[in-house]
Amino acid sequence: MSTKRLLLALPVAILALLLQSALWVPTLASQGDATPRRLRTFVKAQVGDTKRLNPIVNSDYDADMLMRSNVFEGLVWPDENLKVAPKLADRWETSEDAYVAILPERRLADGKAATAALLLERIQDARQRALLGGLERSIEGMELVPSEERALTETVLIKNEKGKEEPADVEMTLRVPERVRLRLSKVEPDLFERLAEVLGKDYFAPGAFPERFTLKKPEQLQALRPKLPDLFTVGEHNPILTFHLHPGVRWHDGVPLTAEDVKFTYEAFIDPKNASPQAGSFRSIKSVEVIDELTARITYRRLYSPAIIDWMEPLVPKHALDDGALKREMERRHLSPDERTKLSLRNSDFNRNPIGTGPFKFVEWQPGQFIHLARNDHYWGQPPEYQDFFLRNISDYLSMELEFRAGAVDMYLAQPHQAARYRADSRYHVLPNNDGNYAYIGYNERLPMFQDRRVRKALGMAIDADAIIAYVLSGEGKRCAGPYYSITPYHDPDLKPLPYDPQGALSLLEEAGWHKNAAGKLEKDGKPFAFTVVTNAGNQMRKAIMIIAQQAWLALGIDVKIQDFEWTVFLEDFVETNHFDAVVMAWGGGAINPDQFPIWHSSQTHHYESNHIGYQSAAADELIMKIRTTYDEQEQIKLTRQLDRLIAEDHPYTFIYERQVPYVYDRRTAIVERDAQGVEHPKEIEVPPSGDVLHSFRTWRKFSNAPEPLR
Amino acid sequence: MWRYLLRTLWQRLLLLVFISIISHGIVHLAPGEPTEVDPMNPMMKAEDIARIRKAFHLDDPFYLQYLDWLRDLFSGNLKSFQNGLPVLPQIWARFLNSLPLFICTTLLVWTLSFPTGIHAAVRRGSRYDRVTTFLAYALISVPSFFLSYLLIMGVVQVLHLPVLGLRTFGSDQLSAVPRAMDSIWHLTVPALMSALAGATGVAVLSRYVRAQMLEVLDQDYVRTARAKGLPEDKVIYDHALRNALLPFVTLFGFLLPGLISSSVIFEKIFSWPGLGQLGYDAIIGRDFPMILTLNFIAAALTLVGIFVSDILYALVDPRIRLQ
Repeated sequence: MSTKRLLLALPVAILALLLQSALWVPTLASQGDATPRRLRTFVKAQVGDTKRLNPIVNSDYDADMLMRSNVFEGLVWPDENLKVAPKLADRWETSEDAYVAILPERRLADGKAATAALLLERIQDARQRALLGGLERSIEGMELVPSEERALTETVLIKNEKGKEEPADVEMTLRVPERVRLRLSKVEPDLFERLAEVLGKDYFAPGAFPERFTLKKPEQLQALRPKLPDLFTVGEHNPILTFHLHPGVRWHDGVPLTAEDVKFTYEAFIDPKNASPQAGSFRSIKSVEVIDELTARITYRRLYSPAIIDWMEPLVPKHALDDGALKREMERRHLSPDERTKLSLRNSDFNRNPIGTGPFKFVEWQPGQFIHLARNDHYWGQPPEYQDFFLRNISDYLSMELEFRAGAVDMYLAQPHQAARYRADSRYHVLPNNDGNYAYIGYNERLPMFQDRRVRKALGMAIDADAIIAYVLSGEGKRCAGPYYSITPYHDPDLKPLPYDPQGALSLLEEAGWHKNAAGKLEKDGKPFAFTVVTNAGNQMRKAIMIIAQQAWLALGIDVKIQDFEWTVFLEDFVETNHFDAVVMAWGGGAINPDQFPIWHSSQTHHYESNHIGYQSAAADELIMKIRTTYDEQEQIKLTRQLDRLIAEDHPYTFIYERQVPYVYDRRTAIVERDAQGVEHPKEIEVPPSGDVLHSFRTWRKFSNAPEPLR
Repeated sequence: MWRYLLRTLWQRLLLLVFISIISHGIVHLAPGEPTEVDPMNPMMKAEDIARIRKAFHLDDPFYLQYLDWLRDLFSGNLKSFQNGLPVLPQIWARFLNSLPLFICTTLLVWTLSFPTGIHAAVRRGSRYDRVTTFLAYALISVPSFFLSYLLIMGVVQVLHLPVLGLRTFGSDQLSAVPRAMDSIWHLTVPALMSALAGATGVAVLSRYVRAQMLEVLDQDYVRTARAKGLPEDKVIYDHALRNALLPFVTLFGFLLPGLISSSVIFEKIFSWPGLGQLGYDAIIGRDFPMILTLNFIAAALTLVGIFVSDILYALVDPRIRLQ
């Protein structure tokens, strides 16, 4: 019957049509023959979606890294030894303008009231008689700066009627008195200490000077008070960075790069309208001046030696994003008046069509699928070997492995257990990418039970970190002992990780007053030792660490519970509000920066600040501030090593491991080397000392056949 | 009839408003913040976070946020928190991706379920019946994501063929026919998988068909048809099948909301950039405007689906009249 036949024929026909398509799809082996261009195309995969391609407003790490290292460029970048190296800036100089306020109410050493003439005379005298301990050689000139009224805006948190903290801009005028300006050829952090020997040792004593401020809304003074001593100081260091841009660099649309772009980038980062997550890095800047087309001069409000590192942030083009450009965009997009007021860098078309100066140009972005970049043939530096670059969004690591094995991905950051599979397979290479990311267990020091250093140390000694690395990380990591990344000079090389010693841990706990009760549980003054460890759900490694730690601590007789929460809940309800006992987390990304202020300074322990565990140490605070204000590299390294050791020996965290993220790629991907005749030879990719596998990316290409064993 | 239509339409609209208010409440009550508020960034100050919250109106009273959302949705100005782009065009683009998968899956489900179900009913108790029953329950019980991964691994390891996504990466460099075939191949695997193991897939639907056919085959008119000497095929496919089809008209109406809801798992596993994945990512990133709009559309589709099946039912079954 016809109905019966139709019912049978229809599914067979549909299935046949669908399944035959498999015969047309190129396999991994045949892809180079099917499309030669494939060998000049690089496909990298990432988990998760991309949001915006504008570095100013980005908060998405992977896509951001892609844009940063390929489409955009900063003034400087980290070289293969993790040192700051020139990029868009050929070179830079550091100098300083130092100001000494003339405050008649302050007495000089001999009891005379300070006046302009007197100060000038004393400083001049000290300079000529070389009383400043060698600093006088840096002084290039000095002059009087008349008094001025300075308009300032500072953002503070003020409680509203509902008791909720809201940001408020405090507008004020600061009456700056007449000052002496010293022009210095380099930054002299000790200048005021030396001058104090000449002018009187209390002359530079800090103070709040509330009478110098006129607030537009006087009721805000209370909220502003903690910030006052920073807003006006008697002696003011203004370090200066002068960048000289590489000549002849053009944006992808052909417009030349100028110092105006540097200035604009700074303004874009700090513009509250853009709400840039990176704004904090640029807040210590006082002004950015354009000296000429290729020279930008950046003046800082105070000593801040890591300043140069912030200029790794990518530059963005002024001509495509300034007010004029946004106005043109409004016209082009026919926006309604309401939309016009809302248009900013956050929602400009630029975010979907970015222009940079880098070796690759942006071509296309299919949200949820891929970002396509193409080689910038007019690149100012060495152009890349690849013609096309795709960053694919793949939802999970298993899918990524499947796509990789099918040849639709050239490289991805594998999970450790996947890497173990690839290491055994001669078709693939695995290179560990060290990104300075370290995992730790943090103890909330606000709780009495964690205030004893010995307790924290004992908790760390109970955990077999080597076993964690071997089994949880499949060996893709190494022990660490302190907050500084082990390959940097900031790390103290003599620092040894905690030994695994449960017995020793037990005796340390006993020393600290915790004894085993009849039930075999630890207690002190009748109170049992009990706490909860939390971490974020979805991260198998952290969960594994949490479980292993729990087992180790249970064995000691501690009553430990564990819980994992979804990421946003975990952050909002536990970490950011400091509402936890112990937490398994990781820090990463700051390897090149000697500054540990946000994570370890005792002032950073409030809600939404990064010293979640409430670590307080006067010695560490002093070292942190000293590191920030030390401009001499060797001196700074000495200080960071002290800090590394100090924090390590305080055991605020149990430092578990520094991870290596294994990059896996097809062996056919290699560095292209050309001999004198221009013949190409593949050379195996190596990891530079900085641990950044992609550092040599520009010289990579895929060859049609795997090169003969290269070693 | 017209009165009935107008009345239900009005009731459904009202219901939709209530659904949107409730879902608004649920979404905002759920813990967690939009990921744009990234407190893990050590450079982000409390001021910055408060500022972002303000920009997203997250501190406004509930009814204001609801009205804002409603106004923005209907004026087309509703923007996603995550990428700042208008929500509706994004949903439309993803809808176009989901559509082929949806059509293909539906075609497979409906064409495969009927022959297998009818055959099992006719040969009730036979080895064929027992095997298909076993398979159907196996497909229903084993988690579909697990089966999907097994299938994908098999294809990749044995055939060395890419499976995930809309097409093979770089297939745009192929000529037209292989390119089309490549797209079809990428459609085939997820469609087959979600047709077989999906919540409303062959495994489930063929069981319905079997049960429905069994019921009809016991009816008097079937015996009458056989008694008057009609060929067995005519009895089954003309007399029995037509009557067995009636309940499936209702099921057809429920297909519509499946466009969003049924695809989440398979789109996620097969990296298919469709509506399901869009919704999933929006939930993970607490992209409130996106979640609410998708929710709204799903609710609207459900109501439309019920409405359509009511009308279809009245059309095919003369015993039912809409009042």
